[in-house]
Amino acid sequence: MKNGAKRDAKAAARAAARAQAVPSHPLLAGPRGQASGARDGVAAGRAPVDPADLAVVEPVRPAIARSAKARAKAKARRGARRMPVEKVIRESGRWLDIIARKTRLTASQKQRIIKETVRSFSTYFNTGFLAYRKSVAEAEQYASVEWTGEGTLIEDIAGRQYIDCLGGFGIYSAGIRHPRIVEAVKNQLERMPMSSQELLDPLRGALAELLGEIAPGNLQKCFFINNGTDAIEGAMKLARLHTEKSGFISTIRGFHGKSYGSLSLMGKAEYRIAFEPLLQDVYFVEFGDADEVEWQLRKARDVGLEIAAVVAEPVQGEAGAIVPPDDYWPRLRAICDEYDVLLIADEVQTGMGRTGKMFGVDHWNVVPDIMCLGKALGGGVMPLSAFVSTPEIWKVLEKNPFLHSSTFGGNPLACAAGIAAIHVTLAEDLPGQAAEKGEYFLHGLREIQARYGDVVTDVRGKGLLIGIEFANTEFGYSVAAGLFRRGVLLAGTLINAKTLRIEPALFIPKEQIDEVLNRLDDTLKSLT
Amino acid sequence: MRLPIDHALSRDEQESLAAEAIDNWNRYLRRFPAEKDRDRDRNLVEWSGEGSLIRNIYGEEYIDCLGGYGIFSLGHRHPEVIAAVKSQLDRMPLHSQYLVNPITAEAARRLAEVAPGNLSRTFFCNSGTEAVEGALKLARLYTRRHGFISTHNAFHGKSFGALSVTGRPVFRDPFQPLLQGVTFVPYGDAAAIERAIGPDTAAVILEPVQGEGGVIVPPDDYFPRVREACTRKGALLIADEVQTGLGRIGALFGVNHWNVVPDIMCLAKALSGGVVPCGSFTTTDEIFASFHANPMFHSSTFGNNPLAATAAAKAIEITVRERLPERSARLGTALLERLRGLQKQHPALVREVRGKGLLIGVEMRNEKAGGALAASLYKAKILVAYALNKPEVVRIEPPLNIPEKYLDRLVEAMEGALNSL
Repeated sequence: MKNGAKRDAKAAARAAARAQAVPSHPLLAGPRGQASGARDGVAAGRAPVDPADLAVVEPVRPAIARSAKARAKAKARRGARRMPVEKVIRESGRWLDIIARKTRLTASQKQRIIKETVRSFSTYFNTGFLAYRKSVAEAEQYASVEWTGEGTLIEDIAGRQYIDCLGGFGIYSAGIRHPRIVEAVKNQLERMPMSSQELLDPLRGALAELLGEIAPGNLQKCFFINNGTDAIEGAMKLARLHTEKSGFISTIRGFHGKSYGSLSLMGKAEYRIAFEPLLQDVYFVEFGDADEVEWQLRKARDVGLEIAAVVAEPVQGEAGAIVPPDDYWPRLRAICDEYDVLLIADEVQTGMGRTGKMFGVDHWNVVPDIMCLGKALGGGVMPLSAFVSTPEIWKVLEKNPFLHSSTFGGNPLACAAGIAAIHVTLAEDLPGQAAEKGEYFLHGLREIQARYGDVVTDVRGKGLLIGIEFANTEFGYSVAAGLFRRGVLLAGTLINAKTLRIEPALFIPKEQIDEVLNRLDDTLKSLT
Repeated sequence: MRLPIDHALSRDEQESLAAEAIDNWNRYLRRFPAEKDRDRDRNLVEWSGEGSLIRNIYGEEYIDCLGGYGIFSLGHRHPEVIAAVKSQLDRMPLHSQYLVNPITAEAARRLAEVAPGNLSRTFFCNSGTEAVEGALKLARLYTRRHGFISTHNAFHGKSFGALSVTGRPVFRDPFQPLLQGVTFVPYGDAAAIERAIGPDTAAVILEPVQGEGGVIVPPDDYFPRVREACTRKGALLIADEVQTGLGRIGALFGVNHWNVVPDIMCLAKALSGGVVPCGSFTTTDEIFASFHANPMFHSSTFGNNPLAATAAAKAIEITVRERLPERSARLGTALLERLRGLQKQHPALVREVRGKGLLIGVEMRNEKAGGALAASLYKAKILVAYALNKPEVVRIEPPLNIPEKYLDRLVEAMEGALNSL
């Protein structure tokens, strides 16, 4: 991490490459999925769409006076290539066609499975989990052992149905077992689930092309792995490699994963303390406050601390759906350019339409330097994650390709799921649906909040990443438990239920949203 | 038998898919210095696999003696694993993370039944590096110490925790500073570990045979002595069985060769059944209980998913039922002997042949000879592992159920290659 001259040359090359990029191409992020004009300015060229969208395209106050350098960077970052949505749908559909060439239990059996499952969990797995899970604690006669699911519904082995508002913490954006995604995975099982790791696997190339084409701006180069935390690990390594600096700025209550690199960015003491010492050189700032980031970077520059990147979630998920001010991300972008550090967007939870746009940063037309995806990228069928960056930044990985690699990463089975997930997300306009249904859901929840203001202290969110905050954890847990008994799955454990997250499938029908709202109302009535 | 897909693709489709694969690779994925070339490299585009064979997009067959660096111990697409995974796809591939999933619980039970000694509690994740991350965290949590001891040339993964205990400067240096408190000692030297364990040492982490480090087999008293030293000084022993586990080196788990029970055992690769990514770490009731204070100390969105658990449960069942560890030991011993025969004939080219079970390394006298050997085996349509970072060692890791005739073909091809070098 020395060699300042080399670093300066690299930064100059990066800026020059950005400056050459052609700034005009169809925009992907319109909520109805149309290609809509050039990405020329913060609010330019938007598709004429619903009011939910207008809220996020308010003119953005420039945070700091942008230097010529920062302006050049911003211009270049809009990217040079863009495949129209129709083409991405067509391409992914074509790939699915290529991939495609290609019980009933008795009551006593059910009971036995329930018993065995609970026993195996407590004997071979974590007894603690069972104690904390409502599925056991609140299930009355017998524990709720999951068995099957479809769309927005999960059914346990005893046949009890639940509306899934937890969405596997964000993996089921396309619902449970979307037929097109399951079909793709099955077809690929017939051919080659894992790569030889010596020959070239075509599906990884196809998925990289699709993702490279829909990613914001000039993000193009992809690395596929198995889960969100690994995507963050890779992004951190890439940032250090490219900048030749070691430090990171992360946010308080930010959640990026639980392996040692991502855990070092964790903004929550209880997850860190027992595992210290973690990576050094990580600094924490309040989420949503761009001034703090700038202050931290200025301080670092003045005292000679080296910062590689700023890492943040577009909307803080684990923290309880915390939506930042609309000028936050544009300002982060400008500040990072000014101080020459990379901006990493952790879109593991927000990506693939969850917040009402394909990617969270699309709300503010910000192009990060590295974007991490996970969860819904595998279509709710396969574990799959990715980090995506620009050709310029990627160069450092090309010198020695083994600097970062993964045995299972980018396996064809997961890539088949990823191709199908992108296809379904765009063909069914899941981002647009999330925007519309999120608005409807939030409206209903705010009405409930108005009636139960003393116990429901806040309702917030973006798209279908929604948080409801209660007066305290005990009350939140009673609400979650009450909803569980009424056939609605929500997160929230005995020790962490002050804020409940709502993350259903992005196409959840309005009748089901009404149903959830009714059952919530009923639960609150019984508790107050 | 050809798969239907091979007939379904027309010649034109084969050509255009191959070209597209190479273009996409170059444009969106490439981390290699050299671009792939449409004409030269189109035979490299893989399409299907079955047993010990891989077919490229034109239907040409390759014998897989690389085994995806150890994931294909059951061969490609073992029919029982595929059938089980498919039926789970029809039920619930990933889990609600809320209710209790019976498949994952069953996989944990099967693993506990075959794991060494009193190892009985499992956390499933998605890859080897995650398994190591989890093991390191658990060791710190349980011992309330923070130091780790690892070995030169050790390979444990490339995420920050696992990378911190990986003993290869080429992988570490560009990403420093890593975790503090890691001490490295030479592999195979038990006395060095005894000396290195201090009051702050949380754990010693070792591979039963160093795989990525060039197939290094330790002395037979190594693991027993390290076990004794760890017990005496209150440090945990973590066995990284990611590559050696599930029969690869001729015992169900590598440590079984020496009757050693580690405190934490990490698995991945072959645990996937060659079908769905899966990793795990398994430990004792007592150690795992430190998670009970807060189960969210360590968790993973995709970890413990039923699709991977199905593959793992089946992989364990098949490996035990088909006695693959014994087969690995028998075939490995015979193959080692024949390769050593070749070494005797070509001492100027081959420096050493070593291994255990079906994890075998052929070390050539120089990097050029290693590259030439791998290249001529590829011409003979046999895939072997050949790493840019250790080009003088050619690694052989075929499926454990590989038909013996393919190993004959391998030996013949190697003999031909060495004669012509």
